[in-house]
Amino acid sequence: MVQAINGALASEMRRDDRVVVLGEDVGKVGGVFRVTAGLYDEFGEDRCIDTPLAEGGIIGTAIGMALYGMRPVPEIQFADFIFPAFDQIVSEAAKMRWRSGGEYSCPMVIRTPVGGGIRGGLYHSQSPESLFIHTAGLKVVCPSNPYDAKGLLLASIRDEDPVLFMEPKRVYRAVKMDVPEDDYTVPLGKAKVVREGDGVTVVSWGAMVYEALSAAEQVAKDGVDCEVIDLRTLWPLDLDTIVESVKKTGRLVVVHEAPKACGFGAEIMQLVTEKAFLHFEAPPARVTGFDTPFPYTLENEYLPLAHRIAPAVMTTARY
Amino acid sequence: MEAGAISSPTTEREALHALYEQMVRVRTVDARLAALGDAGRIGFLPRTLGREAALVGALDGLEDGDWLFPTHADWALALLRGMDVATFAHRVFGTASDPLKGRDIPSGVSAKGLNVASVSAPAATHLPHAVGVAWSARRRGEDVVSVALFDGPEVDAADFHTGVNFAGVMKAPTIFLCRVREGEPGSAEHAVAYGVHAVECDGTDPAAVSRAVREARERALAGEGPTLIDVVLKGDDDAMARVDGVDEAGIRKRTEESLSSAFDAATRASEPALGTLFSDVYEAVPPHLDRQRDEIVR
Repeated sequence: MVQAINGALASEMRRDDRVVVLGEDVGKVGGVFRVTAGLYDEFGEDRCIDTPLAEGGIIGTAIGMALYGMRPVPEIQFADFIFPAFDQIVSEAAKMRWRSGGEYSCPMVIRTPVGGGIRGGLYHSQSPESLFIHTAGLKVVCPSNPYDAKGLLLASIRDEDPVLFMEPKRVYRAVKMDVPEDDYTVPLGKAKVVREGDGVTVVSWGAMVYEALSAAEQVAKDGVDCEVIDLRTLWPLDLDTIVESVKKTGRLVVVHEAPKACGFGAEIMQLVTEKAFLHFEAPPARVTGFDTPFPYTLENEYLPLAHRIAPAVMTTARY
Repeated sequence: MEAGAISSPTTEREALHALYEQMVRVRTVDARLAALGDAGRIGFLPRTLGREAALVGALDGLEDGDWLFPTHADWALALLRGMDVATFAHRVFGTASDPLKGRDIPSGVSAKGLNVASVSAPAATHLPHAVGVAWSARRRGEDVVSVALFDGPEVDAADFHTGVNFAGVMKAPTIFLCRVREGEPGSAEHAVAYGVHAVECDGTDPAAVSRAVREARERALAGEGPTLIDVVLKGDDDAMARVDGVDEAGIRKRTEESLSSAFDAATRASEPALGTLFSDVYEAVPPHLDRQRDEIVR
């Protein structure tokens, strides 16, 4: 996935000279995960900018660039460090178009690695998507594989609205697949059914899609046929794809790494309930991180891995 | 001349008169808005009184292509840059003809055609924006600077330091214009730490502000980086700067008249349509906002 994102950034910077990358150590170092490697050498310090260590300044400066017609792609080194920039994202970028009556806009893509599974402890593992979904004016994207990562990133950079592009760091090097060299986009706001089935609908995104698929294989041995949906874009949500699936299965399990309380799973369930209440044959269930900070040693117990998903799916299937 | 009067050489008198006339106009609008606010006819509106010399002077030192990043107290910049009074009146009353569609308090001006940036309320968040604009203009080879206006207390905010630091590191052609009350600490003492040039000027003298801004602009466009200007505001309303030989009463009367007809028209205008709540959140209205719009728009 690192290569796919790196290649997408490079090709878009070649295609569109408004595209500028900025962040901490994104230039000479090439980023802590090497996602921006080589961009400094090819495009120079004016288009791959090493900034001071201040996330609010990175996003604030990027907002100014966007106002002037550039296409900034700022990087926040870990989503755990996005909070100094929270004010700039929530109060400024997200509201710019609305508060100016549509005169100004902030087309920019905030790239940031999210999620656990790399032994990163409580400050290199969080998944803060709900905080941004709650904010009107932002789009939130989280690819699960290299093909989607490239297509969604290109679609995000070409989008006219600010996009939070969450990259599941557990997938960065763990998942390999052939990615076409040519230019293509994956449309924002479209989920993908990655496993068809008629027993239980399992909704997830990012690194947890693989856990949902693994759990689906486990429960298949017990005769439960899961339909697994990879959201790809979290917000705006592709509600239709989920509702259509739930009307078929009558059962819904949502899986996410973030804590349960006010997590995106709760919103998904309510939205589906409003559309498909009479189709439910079991209470919808959530398999999520716990309402605690993210642990270092016990991260595989905290994460909603297959060993936690499978029992929840079975409970829902046999309700 | 009376107390607080501005003295200037005869050769500059005409220019000073022109600046002062604008200041009188701003004071007149400010008083009218304050009265509307006191009467409860419009929402919250920070007064601009005391800042008018800084605003008029700053614009005089700039070119029309330069970008302004105001605070909510700097609404007069849009008028001074050329927003017509009728549009301003609709903005103040938040009507259907308000360019901002009734979304912000009366002083939240935004005018892309005049290079006046959209205003927000959190302290100093606009400083990094000014840096991004200035950096982009320089990269495109355009002779454009940005000006972030703010007030002394905002020097305590994180984004003041972030913005000035980024400007220094990126050598952005940005001017930071800090209004400081006399006797209070300004922003200039932080300049050394961020490698930024700093000057101070009399904030009651529009010609002094104009000179400081013009010099900062020339430095910026020469590639010498940003400048922090502490514009020192002195005294209160009673000690406000005055210039002799200007027909203040005449300016006030003409300004009042144009405001009256514009405000009368705005008070008769309808509110923005309900559907405008949901437009401009995104470029296109997404399905979830379509559904919410349908709940209240019949």
